[in-house]
Amino acid sequence: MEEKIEKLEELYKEINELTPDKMDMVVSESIHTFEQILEKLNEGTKEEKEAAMQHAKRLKSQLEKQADDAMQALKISKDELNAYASDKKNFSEEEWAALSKAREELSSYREHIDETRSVEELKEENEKPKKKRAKSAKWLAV
Amino acid sequence: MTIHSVQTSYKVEVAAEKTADSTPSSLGAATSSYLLDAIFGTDATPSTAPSKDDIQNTEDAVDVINLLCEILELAKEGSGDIPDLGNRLLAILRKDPAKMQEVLGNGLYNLAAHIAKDAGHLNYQDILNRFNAKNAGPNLIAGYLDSNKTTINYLLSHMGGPGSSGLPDFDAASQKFLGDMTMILLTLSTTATDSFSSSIADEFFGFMNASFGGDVLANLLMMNAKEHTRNAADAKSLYNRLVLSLQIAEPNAPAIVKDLISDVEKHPYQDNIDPADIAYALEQARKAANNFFGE
Repeated sequence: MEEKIEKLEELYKEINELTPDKMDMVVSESIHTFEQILEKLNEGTKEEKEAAMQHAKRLKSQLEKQADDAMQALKISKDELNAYASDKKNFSEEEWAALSKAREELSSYREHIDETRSVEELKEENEKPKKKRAKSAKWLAV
Repeated sequence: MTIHSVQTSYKVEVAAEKTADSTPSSLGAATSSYLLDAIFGTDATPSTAPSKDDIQNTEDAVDVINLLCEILELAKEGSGDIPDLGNRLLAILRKDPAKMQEVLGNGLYNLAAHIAKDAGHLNYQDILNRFNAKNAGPNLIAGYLDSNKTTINYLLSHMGGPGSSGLPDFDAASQKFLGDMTMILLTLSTTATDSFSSSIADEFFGFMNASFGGDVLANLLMMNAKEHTRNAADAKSLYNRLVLSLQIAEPNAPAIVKDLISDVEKHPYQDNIDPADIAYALEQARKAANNFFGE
């Protein structure tokens, strides 16, 4: 898993030099890796869950850093990034085609998860008896 | 942290060589934005501002949730201030009951209404039972925060930047909102018993830490200590809970905890609190951090 995370980190480090022909690979690899992270988060041991969370955080930090760099270079704010990314005028035809495909793929991905992890389902899950985390043992006497 | 998944399998390829003097491309910016949004759900700042009604509803809902958390905290301490908080809660719920029910959702609205109505005669165990029945309270709150994340993050990200000294550069309304969110997250992360709730707390703590820095989180605590505490023990309790919440929410938190302690030492907003108690609280936090991380 560590090897996969490092590869994806490398891809993210270079995301700001991305070309349309590499885009599908970056998106696909991201989805595949996060699928595995999610599996560990849901079904792994305590150690695996903690490791998976750290992997997700590392990748998220890397993506956020690249997004920040890009925003600075393009002189746009966080507020403007979403609008920028959705405006065809900012891209060549080839880039826009690659982006549209990526957006479609990521959109299906998100819909799939939203369907399977709805709040209603989570509420139902909580109807089941759960073990309480032993947090109180760590509380300090005050 | 919210992570999405899909049933697909893909081939790994090696990234292209990085060019030495390349500048970020439009494509890269767009891809980062899409990935952050789809995988982490971090579309924190919408391109257009939410409507005034959305913002007002969100602020009212956050007030309701914060009052619930405060009632829970006071009940735990056996405080006599609960009826007053119950009345404040009722006042917000009664502003426009139908709207509040729609905004909060039936479960959270009913929980708030029941606790508000009976706040005068419920003891801690009663309140805890209602709040935590089948872990309902934390999950309803987490569900609300998650489904309104975009507006909440918008509010958090439009509060004006803190200066070198942290919170004093925020206006009063922003300070209140930040303070309310901090209290909610503290309560949520220390009462929630499932990974979903703690992941929501994690996400918001992470957002606030990334957006405002450890010094602001520390100052938020001190602001809450001044506003909500009646004695130094309350301040110590709050501090301890913040540190522990960070530990729970952020398994790899030593740096955050250390920064937090360092920032509080630099900016201890201790006007109304005995400095000796702050020093004690810091020492306890240090011990907690060392104990937790085995350092």
